[in-house]
Amino acid sequence: MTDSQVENLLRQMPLAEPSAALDDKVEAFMRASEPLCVSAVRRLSSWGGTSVVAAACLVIGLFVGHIFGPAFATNDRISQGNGEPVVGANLSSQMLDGGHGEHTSKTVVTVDWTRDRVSGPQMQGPRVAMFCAIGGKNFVTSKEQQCLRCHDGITVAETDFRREHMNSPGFETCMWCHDTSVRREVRN
Amino acid sequence: MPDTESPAEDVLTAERDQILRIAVHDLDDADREVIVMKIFAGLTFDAVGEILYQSAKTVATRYRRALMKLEERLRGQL
Repeated sequence: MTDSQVENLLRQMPLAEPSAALDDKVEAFMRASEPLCVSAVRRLSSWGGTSVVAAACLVIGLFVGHIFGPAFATNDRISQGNGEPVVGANLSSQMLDGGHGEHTSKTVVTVDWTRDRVSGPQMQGPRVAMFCAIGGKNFVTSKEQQCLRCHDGITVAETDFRREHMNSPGFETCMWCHDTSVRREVRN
Repeated sequence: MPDTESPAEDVLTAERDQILRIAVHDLDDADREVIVMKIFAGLTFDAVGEILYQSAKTVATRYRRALMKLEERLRGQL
């Protein structure tokens, strides 16, 4: 038997049997675990509180604008660009490049993790599980965003990945925490 | 699961998968890690290298070595 024959056999091997029970567990887990982005939105769901904050911001804005308006106008002229959007600056590439600008906005964005980036066709579920360990030194921020949903810290995530997930070719342990869907919502 | 033509083939496939599964499980952590990421997750050597903080060349060497160990374990069983 050659190396390539072994490879072919392994590629044919199913990682895990389809399991309705496991699917239910994953679904229940995902329902129970509130995404970070939803939490952020819900904190502002009180109309009374929002109105008060908005009014306060308006007053402060008017005051600051009145006092510093001329100075800002000068700076605006200096710092104005051509106003064109940055081509190719989608969220996926931002995440893979290290999640630049993640703290500048609280909008909810849906990200597609592509199959070939995170997992192969044999992977029956935990694409995000693999992503927790992907990236290495350059992608620490994006790793944290994903991994900290289920893990207590980036070190724990890496340890879990190596010690637990790698011990099970079926990846059953991953699917307790990780979404089986390709689409994930993250906070940008 | 791959489609097979008969119950007998189903049994053979299941047995083969079980033997493979055990062989992979019996590898040590480092070898299994590379096999799982390369074959099951479909990652490139570069990507595996990023995860393991190793060069793609080192990963490729480890991968070949792990395949050879698997081959030894599977010899006579399949």
